[in-house]
Amino acid sequence: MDIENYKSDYINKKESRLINSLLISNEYLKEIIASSDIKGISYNFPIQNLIKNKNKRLHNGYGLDNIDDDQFFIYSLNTSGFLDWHADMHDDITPHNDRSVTDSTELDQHIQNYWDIIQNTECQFLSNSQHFNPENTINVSPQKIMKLFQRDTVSKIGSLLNNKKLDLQTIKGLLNYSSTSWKNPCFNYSIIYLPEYFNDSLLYAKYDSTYNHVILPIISNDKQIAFNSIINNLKNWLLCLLELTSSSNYNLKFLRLYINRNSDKYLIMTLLRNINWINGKLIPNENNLNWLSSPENSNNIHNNTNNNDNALAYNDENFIILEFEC
Amino acid sequence: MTPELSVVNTLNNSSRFASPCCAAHSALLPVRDENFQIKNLFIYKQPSHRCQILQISKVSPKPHSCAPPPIMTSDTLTMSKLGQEQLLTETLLNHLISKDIATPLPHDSNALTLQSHKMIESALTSRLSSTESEDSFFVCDLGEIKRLYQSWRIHLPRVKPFYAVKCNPNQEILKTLRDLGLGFDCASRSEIDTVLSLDVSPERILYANPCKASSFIKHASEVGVLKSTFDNSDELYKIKRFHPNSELFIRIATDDESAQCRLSTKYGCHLDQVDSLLQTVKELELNLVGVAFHVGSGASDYNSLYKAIRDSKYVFNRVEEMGLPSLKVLDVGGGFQYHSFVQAAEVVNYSLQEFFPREAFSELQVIAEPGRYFVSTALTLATNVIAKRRPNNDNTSSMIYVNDGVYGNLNCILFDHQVPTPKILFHSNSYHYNSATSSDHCIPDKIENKISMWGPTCDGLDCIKNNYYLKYDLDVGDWIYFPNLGAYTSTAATQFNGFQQFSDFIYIDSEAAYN
Repeated sequence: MDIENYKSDYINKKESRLINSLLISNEYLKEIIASSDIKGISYNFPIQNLIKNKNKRLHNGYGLDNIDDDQFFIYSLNTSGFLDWHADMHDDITPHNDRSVTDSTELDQHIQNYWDIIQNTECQFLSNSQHFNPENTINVSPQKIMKLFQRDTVSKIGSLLNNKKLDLQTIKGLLNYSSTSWKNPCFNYSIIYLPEYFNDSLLYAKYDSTYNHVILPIISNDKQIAFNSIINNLKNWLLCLLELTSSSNYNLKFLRLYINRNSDKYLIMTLLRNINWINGKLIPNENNLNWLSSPENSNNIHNNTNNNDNALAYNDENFIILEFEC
Repeated sequence: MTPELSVVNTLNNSSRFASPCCAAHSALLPVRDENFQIKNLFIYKQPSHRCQILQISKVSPKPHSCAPPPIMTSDTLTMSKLGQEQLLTETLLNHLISKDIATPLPHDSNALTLQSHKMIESALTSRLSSTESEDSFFVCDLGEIKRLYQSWRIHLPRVKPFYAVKCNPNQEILKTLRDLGLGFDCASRSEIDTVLSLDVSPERILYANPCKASSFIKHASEVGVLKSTFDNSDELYKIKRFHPNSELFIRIATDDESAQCRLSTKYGCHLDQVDSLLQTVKELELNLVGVAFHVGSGASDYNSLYKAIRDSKYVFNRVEEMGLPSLKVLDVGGGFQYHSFVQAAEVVNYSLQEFFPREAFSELQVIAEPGRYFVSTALTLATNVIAKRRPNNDNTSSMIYVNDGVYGNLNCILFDHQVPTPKILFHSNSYHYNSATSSDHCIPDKIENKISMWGPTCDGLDCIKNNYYLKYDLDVGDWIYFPNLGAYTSTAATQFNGFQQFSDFIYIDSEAAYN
């Protein structure tokens, strides 16, 4: 099994677990999903929530006042008569804001969900380094690559969270930083569930203070995804994502949409054909050779003590990237 | 010599047309004489090279010109032929081309365009000879835009253009259009902000994005842009909430099957939805001022224009019948192209006269959203050959890589279904600008170098041209140019993204030079 197939299995397994854990196992959400008035659900969290201990969060300078906890958002008709995102504050899904009274098993489940979402997001950009660096002759199995990937992801997120030298000002600065690139881990991750258009496939997203990077599932004619619905409702689901990105909870300026190149060509061409009309831009893929040759990234690679780490590579070649102003 | 002014425009006689579609197969042929200033001389070309001179807005001798020569070639095209039909022979066509008075457009060898090739060539060659830079660059003739506006005024006197900024948001182009008095059709907050930063008042802006998030509407409200389109009730509720003073245009769907970029499959309400939307407008007490439609970018079937104006009249009637205030504006959208502008204008004029006769609708304001019409022929892109590969390891074909592509200034290939025509600019230490035989789509007798042309990204999407033929076997370092590449090309070069594509622009103004 090559890395792409292995990756796909890896994502699917985690996705099934996420849907079950976050959406299906909750009676209230099950009701919401069944309601025809609800067009979408979004679940997001800041990575600080990965720190189990509230005292440690405070010690690390994150505070509690200016950090949002994880939250469900619902896309439905508001009182003004139009579809809008709003936070759902129902007790059954209001997450563990007070960790001191939260059951530790439940907390562990939340932490597991966080990591699943982060890894399913970052995993989409994982590639075998030999793909674009043929000189790398290390032959590493897909299983090994995925293990390396998990370790690498935990390390990157951990380095953001565990830097005790950061003062509050720096933390605030980090929280406001703006990353145009898919490469960097973000301070917030989310899943978006739009069953009317994408059936049971989740959209993964990460965001900072400016960009919301949203990854669409592979959309093709032979998949379970409602292909015609996606094509015919392009404006509706795109508007839904634009509203989410610009909503007061996110308040971001740009939506970046990652469309898998294995998706149906007709969908891709339809999106591109209309892109000027809906104020979108095509963003070039990053030049991986340039990225690899940059001193900073080169050091990252060469500083790895384990040669197997050279097998890990991230790139965006699998995606056509569109950007929309919000 | 006293300048002579003469205008003949037989196309105003709408009785010539049994139906709007009968104007097909004609082309606008503006020409310029090198010795005389002849501005806005249009000859109306029909099949079999029959042509008719329609108008000359101004004729005057060039300053310091010695002899008073006749207009172009005295034996073929003279002032005495003005308004008369005559045969446009191959000889005359070749003569116009050889004298650099006109040049064939890429896709229609019978169509001619008014371009100042001497100035464009001079700008291109000066740039190449003065710098070692291999970056691609545009030559932008602002004079072409001014001439096209004059042509617009002649052919569509009832219609005020709101330039579609998305088509090319270059600031010098926007300033030129601002100074000419155009309005602006904006699709985003950044486009609105750009136009406002040029001291254009918000009244001159139409916000026509068909997919507006709440934040867009809030922004329009903040900056005082009132004119806005809608095609669904959700939008109306948002507008009521965030911008209740908007001057609204109901956008109706059209038959856009022939358009280069079809829009109505996604945008615009169908006529059976009109009543419901008007009812919502009434209930929300919103300010509906007009009807808008768009037949699609690059439309070629003029029946859709006719039908859309007819359908607009239906909406005007329904508004009256439902007791809403009378509408004041009709927006006939865009889709106008240079080479078919005259025909499209005829259909618009004809249809307006049929459904909104000037006598009965003297207060009606008619606007349009043209984009490519104003900029397509005004820009020429020059790119450098950066690599070459022989995929079959022989001399039968080459893959040519240039330093611009679909992710840069040639994104019109993906977004706009354009088919740009590469031509050889510099090869083997010689310039080849405007050589009619340097390239061709088909296999010609003497053009033997089969190529495919690619952008620099190594991406399968980044294909500029396939199965194409060039006169010369290009080498790395040679230069290619793409004429008529002003529409939907440099939009990727705008602000706000992390991969800014900086394009150098060389501006010329052939109108100022001639004047």
